[in-house]
Amino acid sequence: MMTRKTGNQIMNKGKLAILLLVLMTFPMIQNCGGSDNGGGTADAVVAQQLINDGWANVETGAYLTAESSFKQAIAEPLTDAQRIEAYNGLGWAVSKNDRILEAIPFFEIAAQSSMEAKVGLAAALIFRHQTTDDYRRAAELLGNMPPEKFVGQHGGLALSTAKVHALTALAYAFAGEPEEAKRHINKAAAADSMMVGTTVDRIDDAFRLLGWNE
Amino acid sequence: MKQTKRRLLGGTALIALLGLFLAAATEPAAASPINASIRSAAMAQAKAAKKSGGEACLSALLNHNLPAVQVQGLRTPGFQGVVGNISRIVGGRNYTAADLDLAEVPFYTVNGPGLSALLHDGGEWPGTGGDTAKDDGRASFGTDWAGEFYDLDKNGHYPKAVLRYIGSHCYIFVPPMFFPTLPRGISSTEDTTPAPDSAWGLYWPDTAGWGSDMLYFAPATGAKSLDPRFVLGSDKNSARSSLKAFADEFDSVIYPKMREYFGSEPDVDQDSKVFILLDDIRDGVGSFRGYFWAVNEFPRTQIPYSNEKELLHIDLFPTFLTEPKQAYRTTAHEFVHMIHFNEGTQVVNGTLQEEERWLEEGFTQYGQYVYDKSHTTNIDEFIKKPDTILVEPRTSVWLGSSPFANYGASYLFMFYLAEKYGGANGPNFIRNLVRDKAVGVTSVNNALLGYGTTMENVFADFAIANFLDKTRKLDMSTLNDGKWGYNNDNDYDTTNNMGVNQTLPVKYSERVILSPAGTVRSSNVKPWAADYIGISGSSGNLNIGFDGDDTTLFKAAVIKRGEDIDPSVEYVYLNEKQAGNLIIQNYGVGNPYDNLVLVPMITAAGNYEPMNYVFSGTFSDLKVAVFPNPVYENNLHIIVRTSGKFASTPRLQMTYNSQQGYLTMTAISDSTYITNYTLKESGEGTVEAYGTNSNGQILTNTLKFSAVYYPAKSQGLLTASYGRVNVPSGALRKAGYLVVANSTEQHSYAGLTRITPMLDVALPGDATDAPVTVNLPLSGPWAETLPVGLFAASDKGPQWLGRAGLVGSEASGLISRSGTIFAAADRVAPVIAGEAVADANGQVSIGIGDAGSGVDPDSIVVRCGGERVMARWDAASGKLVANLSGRLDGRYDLDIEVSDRLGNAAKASVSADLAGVFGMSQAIVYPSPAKTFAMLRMSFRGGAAVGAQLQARIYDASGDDVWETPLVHKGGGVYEARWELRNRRGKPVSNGTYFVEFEAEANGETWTERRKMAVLR
Repeated sequence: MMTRKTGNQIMNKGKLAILLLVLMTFPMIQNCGGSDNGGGTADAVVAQQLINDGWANVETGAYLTAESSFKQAIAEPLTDAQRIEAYNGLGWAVSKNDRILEAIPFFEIAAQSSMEAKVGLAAALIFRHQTTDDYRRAAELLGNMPPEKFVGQHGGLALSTAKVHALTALAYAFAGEPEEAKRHINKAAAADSMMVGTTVDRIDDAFRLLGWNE
Repeated sequence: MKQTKRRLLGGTALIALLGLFLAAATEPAAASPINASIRSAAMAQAKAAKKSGGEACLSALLNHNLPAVQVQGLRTPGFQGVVGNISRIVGGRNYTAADLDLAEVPFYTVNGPGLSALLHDGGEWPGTGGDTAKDDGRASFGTDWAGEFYDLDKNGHYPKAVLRYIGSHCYIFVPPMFFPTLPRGISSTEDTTPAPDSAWGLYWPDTAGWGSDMLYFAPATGAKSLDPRFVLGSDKNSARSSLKAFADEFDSVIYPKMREYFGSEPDVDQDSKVFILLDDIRDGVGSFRGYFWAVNEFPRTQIPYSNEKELLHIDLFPTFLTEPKQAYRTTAHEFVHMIHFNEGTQVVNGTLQEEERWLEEGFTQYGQYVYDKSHTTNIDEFIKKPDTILVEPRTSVWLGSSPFANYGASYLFMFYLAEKYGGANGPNFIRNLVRDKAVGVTSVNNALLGYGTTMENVFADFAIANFLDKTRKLDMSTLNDGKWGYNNDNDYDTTNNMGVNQTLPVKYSERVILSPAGTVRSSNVKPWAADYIGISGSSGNLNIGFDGDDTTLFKAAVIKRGEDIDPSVEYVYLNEKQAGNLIIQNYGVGNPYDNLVLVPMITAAGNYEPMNYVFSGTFSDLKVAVFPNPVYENNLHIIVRTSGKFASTPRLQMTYNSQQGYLTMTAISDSTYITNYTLKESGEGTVEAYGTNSNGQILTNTLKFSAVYYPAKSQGLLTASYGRVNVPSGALRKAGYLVVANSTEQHSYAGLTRITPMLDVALPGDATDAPVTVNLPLSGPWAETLPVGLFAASDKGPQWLGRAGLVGSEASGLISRSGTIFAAADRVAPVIAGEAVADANGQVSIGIGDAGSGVDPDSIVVRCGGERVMARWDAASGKLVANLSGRLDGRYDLDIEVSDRLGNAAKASVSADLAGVFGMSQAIVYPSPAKTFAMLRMSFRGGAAVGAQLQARIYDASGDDVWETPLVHKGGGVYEARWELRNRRGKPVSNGTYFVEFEAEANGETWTERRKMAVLR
């Protein structure tokens, strides 16, 4: 009796019709003609639709398509809130597509009022680690938020309070503020799931290895 | 036969036979009921014990692989153990003083040379070749009838043993040859026992291995002799006096104490007294001092050589004669085996399920300690070999030639458990452990449930205690709650040391004297065992690195010691690869902690082979960490850090999934550098860091790590004529193919009505991060109200996945794992068994059967007298366990409601008889760490649980008294108080560690329990 078979095992049997679908292709199929709103719609509505499309594509991992949507939105007349939202999305679409440093200018714009953009920017500054100013800036961005108030707007970014605390802890540790770093890593560990091997758990381990926490 | 013998014993033929008699003394005289390999192992063990001074246990060998037969009387429905169910196999004897020197009883033993069968039966034992008319001395009182006493015909049949003393709780039987007068059954005039003849050349078999000290039965030229008739005394009165001393010791000390700590002995013969056969156990060297043979608890219809009675075999010579105290200790040991057979053995599918040997021998040896407060010499063997597997269930080891260190480990661990977790309630704790129906580690974990700890943690403390053996600080306050030593062995009195000829600490496995360059070494340690590596020499901030085999679970404790400072223990924090580092600040000569002991240990079973580890001690102080960016998780950060300053940029060599290269580091500060690595796939790697500090010292460190690559999220819909799978966003985070196929498997399961075909669904990585929807076509028209669930087919039956709904012509539900999926209806309610079985802790078990979707644990409601009681579902045993602890003994009616996972409900009323043992069941503090408050809870079980007086005091880490409160009874024997994390003056206490000391008085007993907690706001 089959209980748990791998895809290959089933394929090798070749007994019946098998349908294979590489999941990466789903978004492309779905997006064929999907974002055509036609002419005559109000500009703000068009821009909002482009922003919504962008986030939908971020959710599915179609970062290039998302980037295109956000850029198109930015080219439209925008409200202030839409402008922040579009640059925030653009920052994430670019950075999630392994172009983290390119995302920094977009996050800089959106970080004026977007918590997600502040987190993206701080993480990018730590990734850049060009000068100690990067760490101080990251620590200030997050410390002034503060992480306890962080609320993620977009599930596709997989952000959580625990991760934001861990990022804050890193920023403080690099900026030479060990007590604040310790406080935030303990909060991150407390807010994280009980699972071993999560990103936050690994950072918590690293803090112990490096002597930044007992 | 008598005539034949008479002829042989006369004239020249006697000379020819002498050689045969000598051979008979060393060769088994009759076939033994135990097989040759076990006998051979026993003899080898006896010799090894003689050589090492260890204490061998013949019971362990004899009771190995008990016959796989049904024990009569054990088929009663609801049977929960041997206790009280094995009795009434044969009628009782209940001898009185009138039977003294008159009652002759047959005994089947393995006391013959080489542990062969030796029968004190007068030849009457059925099927073993004896002959009543010729083997009991009665048939012919000629000049040579004494030959029957000495078995000159070598058929293994001797006259029956004779009742020589009756104690309050025991009978002592002695074979006729070992008593100065004849039993009246043989000679109504009580003539003296016939003397052995020097011409026979018989010698005491055990002395065969004693070289020139060999003893003969009768005087022979140039030989030492010991007349068996007079080993207990030269006349009847002095012999009786020796037996009285034995019986008094059994009645007044051994019997009550062993029963207090371990429970009750069985009673197969309906005679409350225990039979003791004082006989010579002829193992060749005299190592085996006694045994309990469990086959005597079986009926002869099943095991023909069963003696059908509670019987202890105790060695007369040399044990009882030369070391009567050892004979008494052995009697205690064997009596515990007997009790354990009754209390700790259970019947599974009609056969006996024995306790793991390491735990049972822990009980028996602890019984010896309970008897006379002295340790077994086996402890010495463990002290010499601490890398001995504690959790050792393999019979090959216990039947091997030298299991004495295992015996020592078992004893010491049982002693530790009793002292640390039994405390003043020791007998209760041990009895509960004996009675637990699980075996081995599970049994110990069950006993530790109320203490908030596990075998794994207790073993770690035990391993440290065996080296450190300290319970008090220099100022005499308690050190680590007393867990790092033995209270029994106070530090300032050598008379109570743990050990006999050796004493704790256990021996070092290795000693390392560090040079400034440090060291890297490798070794290995066995599962559930520990190594002790002494580290001394040099000074500075010492970086201890440890890397153990990845396939097991290591702990690596570091004991820090110094002359004028209390010892301390830290653990190397090990990652999932069993690798890690620990920096010991200011270690070494001239510093408070001038020497260390690294204690690598394994707290998992494994395959019993030693597992390798590498440890290093360096002063280089280079720390390395690898972790993902918390937001961009496919990018790793690698940090290198030293506590001083780097003189130049450290170098980093990295290997990841077999690719190697150097990474350039950027300074975060003069002591910390960083670099990034972007992942393209999941895998494992190693980073090797090199640097030079401002003192010119070369620093190195190596770290193994694993990393996970997160592909972009995907979503989609996969459709085929035989099913659909809908993948929502975020459900899949692993790359790979999603495959759906019409399954070739189309099975049926009892209790379920399958309403769709089976569908094979394979997911990337075999599991999803969030559920995906599966739609299956219905195989017929079904009502939408039908209770339907999704199941996965398996060899063990249908595996429940979740409820399904019927929409149009499809059944739809969620899955999160690969499998052969189908939808089925379940319309049959669970069946509640008609009887409840209560254990001594007030836990009541009721069997519930459901062949369909299975019992829904959340549906269970149990009420007792209208009041809802706590209950849990034990899926493994198929039983509902209701907690009635804290209630008075008596009969209780339970109303039970339960549903299966598809809502088919059942109700029943069941009665349970509670006969609880009063005792403490739990003392806990939660939550810990506490943020705004902490609950202090202590609970008791048994009839007197509701009348306790409780108080809790809270101390801070420096021992200062912070707060105190009484605990209030909340019902069911549970007492509670709430601490608002404020001190006596009402001010909030600071963050840190606190100790809660519970004091309870109930039923004339007092308890003191200490628990550690943390406050972290």
